[in-house]
Amino acid sequence: MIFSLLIYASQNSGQAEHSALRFTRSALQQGHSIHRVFFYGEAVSACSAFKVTPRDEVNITEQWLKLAQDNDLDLVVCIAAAVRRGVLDQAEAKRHQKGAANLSDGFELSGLGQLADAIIVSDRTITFGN
Amino acid sequence: MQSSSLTEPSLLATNMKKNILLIVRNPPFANSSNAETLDIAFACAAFDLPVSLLFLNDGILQLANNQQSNLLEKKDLTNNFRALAMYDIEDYFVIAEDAQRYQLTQNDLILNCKIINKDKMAALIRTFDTVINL
Repeated sequence: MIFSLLIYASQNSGQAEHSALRFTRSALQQGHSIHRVFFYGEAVSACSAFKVTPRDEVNITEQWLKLAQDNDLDLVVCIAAAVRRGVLDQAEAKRHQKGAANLSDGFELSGLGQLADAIIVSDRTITFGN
Repeated sequence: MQSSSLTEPSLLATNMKKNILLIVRNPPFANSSNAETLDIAFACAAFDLPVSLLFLNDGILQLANNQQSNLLEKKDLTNNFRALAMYDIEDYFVIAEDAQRYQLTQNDLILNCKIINKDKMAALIRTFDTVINL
């Protein structure tokens, strides 16, 4: 089956994003495919390269990137949600005249059209929200 | 699973137009979820996907007319929700019990909603291919 994930909950205030990560791992292990993982709302802060995770905690962003590398996952971050929360790629940093870009390599800023596309292409679109 | 029995429905599903239900369940001004749900509605409409909205629990308050958002120094989404009709999104639901709880009638709402009883809600949700509840 083809799945897409919509991650909406904040990484720092609940279990949802970790659940999404574990769901993705399990689905892939069982031979399903993940068309896209779409980060929206507070979840965009998970994609900042400026975040520092305490040593004794799991760095979910690193886990996403590793999973994406091993399985060729499409990790898309909503551009409007990201920019308003201070997560910028090089192009947006330049456009808004900010001193630095902080989107982690491996994530891509794009529009909500990518979510609509994911809904069309996937058998199931699963929201991990609050 | 890579068996053909599982991949075939996928191809079939891709060719069918999926209908989408967006559930709005937070009051206005609480957080950004109602605005972000609205943006999903517009994006899906741009892809010709049929979208319906269910205003659930406190979400019905998003539809209350005469909101005075200037007092809160917040953006009022009333006009944004009214703009849904321009994208051919005109299928809205509220739950009778929620309307009763807040003493709202159709005349108090900014959109023309179908009012359903709570015990019909599960059946309603089941008629949609994709449900998004931020």
